[in-house]
Amino acid sequence: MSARTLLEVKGLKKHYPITQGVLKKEVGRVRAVDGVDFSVSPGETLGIVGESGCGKSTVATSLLRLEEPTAGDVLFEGEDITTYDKAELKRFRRRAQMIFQDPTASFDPRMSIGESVGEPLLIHGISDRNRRREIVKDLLERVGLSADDIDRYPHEFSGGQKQRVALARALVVNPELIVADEPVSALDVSIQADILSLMNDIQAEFDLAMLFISHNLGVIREVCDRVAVMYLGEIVEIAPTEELFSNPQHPYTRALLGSIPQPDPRQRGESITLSGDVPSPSNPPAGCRFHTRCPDVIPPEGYEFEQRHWRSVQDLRQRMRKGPLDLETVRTAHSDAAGDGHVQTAEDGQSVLDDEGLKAGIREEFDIPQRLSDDEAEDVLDRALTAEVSDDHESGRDLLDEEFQTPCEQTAPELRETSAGWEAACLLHDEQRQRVEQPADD
Amino acid sequence: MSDPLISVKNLHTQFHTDDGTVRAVDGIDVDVSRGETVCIVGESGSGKTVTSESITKILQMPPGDIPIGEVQFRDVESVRELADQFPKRVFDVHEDDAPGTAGTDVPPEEDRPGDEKHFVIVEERSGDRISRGYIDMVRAPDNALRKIRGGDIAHIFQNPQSALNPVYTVGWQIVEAVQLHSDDDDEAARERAIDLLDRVGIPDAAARFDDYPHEFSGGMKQRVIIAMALASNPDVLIADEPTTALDVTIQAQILDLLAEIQEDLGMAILFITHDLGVVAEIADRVVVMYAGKVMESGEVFDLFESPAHPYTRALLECLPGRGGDMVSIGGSLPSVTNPPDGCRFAPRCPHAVDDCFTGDQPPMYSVEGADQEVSCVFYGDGYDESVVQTEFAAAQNRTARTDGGRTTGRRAGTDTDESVRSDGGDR
Ligand code: SF4
Ligand code: SF4
Repeated sequence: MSARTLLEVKGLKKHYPITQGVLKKEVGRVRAVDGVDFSVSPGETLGIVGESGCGKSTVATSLLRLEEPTAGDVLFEGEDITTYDKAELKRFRRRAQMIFQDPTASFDPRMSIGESVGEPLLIHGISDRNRRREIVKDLLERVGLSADDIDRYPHEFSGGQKQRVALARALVVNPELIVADEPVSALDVSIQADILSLMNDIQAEFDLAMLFISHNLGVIREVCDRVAVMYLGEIVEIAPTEELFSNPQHPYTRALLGSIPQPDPRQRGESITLSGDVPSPSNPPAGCRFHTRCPDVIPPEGYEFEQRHWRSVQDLRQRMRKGPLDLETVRTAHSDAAGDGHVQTAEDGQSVLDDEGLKAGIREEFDIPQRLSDDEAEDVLDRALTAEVSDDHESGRDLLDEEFQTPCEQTAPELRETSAGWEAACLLHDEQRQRVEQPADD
Repeated sequence: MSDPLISVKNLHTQFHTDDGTVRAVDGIDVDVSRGETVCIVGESGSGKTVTSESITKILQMPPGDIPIGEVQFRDVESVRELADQFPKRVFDVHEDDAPGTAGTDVPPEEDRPGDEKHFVIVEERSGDRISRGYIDMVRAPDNALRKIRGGDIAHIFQNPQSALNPVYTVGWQIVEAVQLHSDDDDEAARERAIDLLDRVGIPDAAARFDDYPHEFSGGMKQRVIIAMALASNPDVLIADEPTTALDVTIQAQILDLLAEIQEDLGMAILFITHDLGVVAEIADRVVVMYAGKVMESGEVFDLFESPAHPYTRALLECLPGRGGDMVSIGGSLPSVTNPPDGCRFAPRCPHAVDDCFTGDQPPMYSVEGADQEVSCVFYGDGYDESVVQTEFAAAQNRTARTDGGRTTGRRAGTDTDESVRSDGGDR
């Protein structure tokens, strides 16, 4: 690995407009990638990890200009490729090759492996057929296939073998950068290991820079020197691989690591479970984008919450911002939260839940204890719930909004160096910001 | 000990194709008891999915076919019900103690009671009531199976999309499932459906009752499917890779949910997965399959603590991200139409000796001091099992191959052997 930077990405954005009507008026944007920075050196593998919809694959396609980025610079050996014209782009693409998850889709079934792998050579002016065959044979052996495979067809190869052929084809033009998007995700574990070792070997042999995109942290750990963790279009942490695994600094990284089931039954039940789904990238949450799910979301000044309960109260608050609660569910599924005595029989013989029963049911639905440990917080919550069940949703909602704000929704944390020595974007690491910008509690 | 709820015995499931008969499942035994989670783990082509689909015969037949084997479903309620419904197809073991009049294609060692038409097997009666017996699912006709599928035995799959009808609301589909198995009127069925949706963690269940499947995320759709499966209060849930298509944080939520409802409802779960991490998280018992055979089975703590079979060890050692070096198993899956003699794993096993290449797959030997059984000659008489209880990678290095392949140690030559991996097994 060298100190020289081969690829540098600055402020990369890719937004997709959401349009409406015949005039295709833009009514919103999907912020698939929303300002990411990173760099890769020759001989280095940078991993990008995240869940579906975090933008990791879009980073790959937009930095290679397979789709045009919305904003940002992509410097390759110091030159900004976003300004390249067609001819320059073509030359650049030879130096930066991409490998995809499904190798089958990237081969023409009617072309022999030799033709497929040798095709880029022809395009790049090597017209001597025998010379091409020699180069291809040599490469096939280097990726663990046999030179005799040159005249076979794609359907004669297994998934793992096809991925080897794909590697050979990427290598045939002597690239400096390989961008691999989930290259082993479609393979069985025992085959994954083979392909990953091969990629490691090839990278060392050819001194390649590699950008390795995967949802699988285990796979990332095998091949990457450094890892960038993405959430909703942003990088939330970027760190040397082993350090990231042993000492994650961002709550999302911790959750991601903690969600991987470990092949050791003695560790069962130790996983961290995040609540809810990933929000839509067309309308990302304000402040820290992770605040709607973060288990460590910062509580407001002046209240002593148990962290777990604070998370649940936040869930309730976020739900109430969307509109009145679904009391039918509470009546149907949580009618016994307050115990007997809160169910009354109405005139028509139906049993109904009284207000206290409803409030207890709401708490149960949101996993909030029937009494919070902090008296003042309990008082606020109780008043809000009373309003909610008395058909006064607005006051309930506003009360929670006023009292139970989190600094995490007001300030967007920036990727900053933490005391651990690498960068993470979380206000828990940015004490100064927190002190300066947290609203005074009055 | 009470009988297992489901006993798969000597199951052979085959597919007749132009290239020959694919022996996807080739003689396996699996038991699932009430309230227990059994995981079948294996790679593609292992036969794990076909096993799960053979139990209620949801596989396409033809080309699928179960020429040999039995799947016993021991739910007395169902036995009584089906005995009433199909009186001519009941076989009373006690009335007729003669050995089973086995059909021509049933091997003699497989002493199945009755003949092909009998599928309700009664073993004991107390007075007039049946007190012990089972349904033989392999022989059961379609109309009997339909009652059991989606009733006593529910299925969930990797892709929830395929199990939901896009043109009906989610609520309507669950109400339908509820009413299929109860006499609930519309109002009561609606309440039950809302209760189920809430139970599986769909927020605002009542408000979402009238939403269509496409309005739910992947994880939420899988929850809806679980709710539908629960609508019939099943005794057994068969889950085929239900979390494989989901992100890890959502997978963790669904695994938590399954564990929770199992505890609440006491269901048995048969869980099919390729992921040993998931196995360690939820299994009580584990069955490791390879090329249509069971390599090893046992209690989850014992099996992970000391994997007995070389293949199990290899699977654990090749998991990416453990820290340490990754192992490559080398070689490739044996042919599914013409499997080799002896142990199916022998061509890739660094410990293989002559006995491994002849005869049948070794029998299931019990492992001393553990609740585990293993199909490997080294656990038989005259062998020292400690030989195979070492690291797979180390063993590979010791027995550097001389078979012309480049399979030496972890820089292995890989999956490049002559046979193309056939996906005839798992789909
Ligand atoms: S800024 Fe707040 S919400 Fe975001 S990760 Fe840090 S603690 Fe969690
Ligand atoms: S030692 Fe023989 S029987 Fe045991 S796993 Fe290896 S090949 Fe199979």
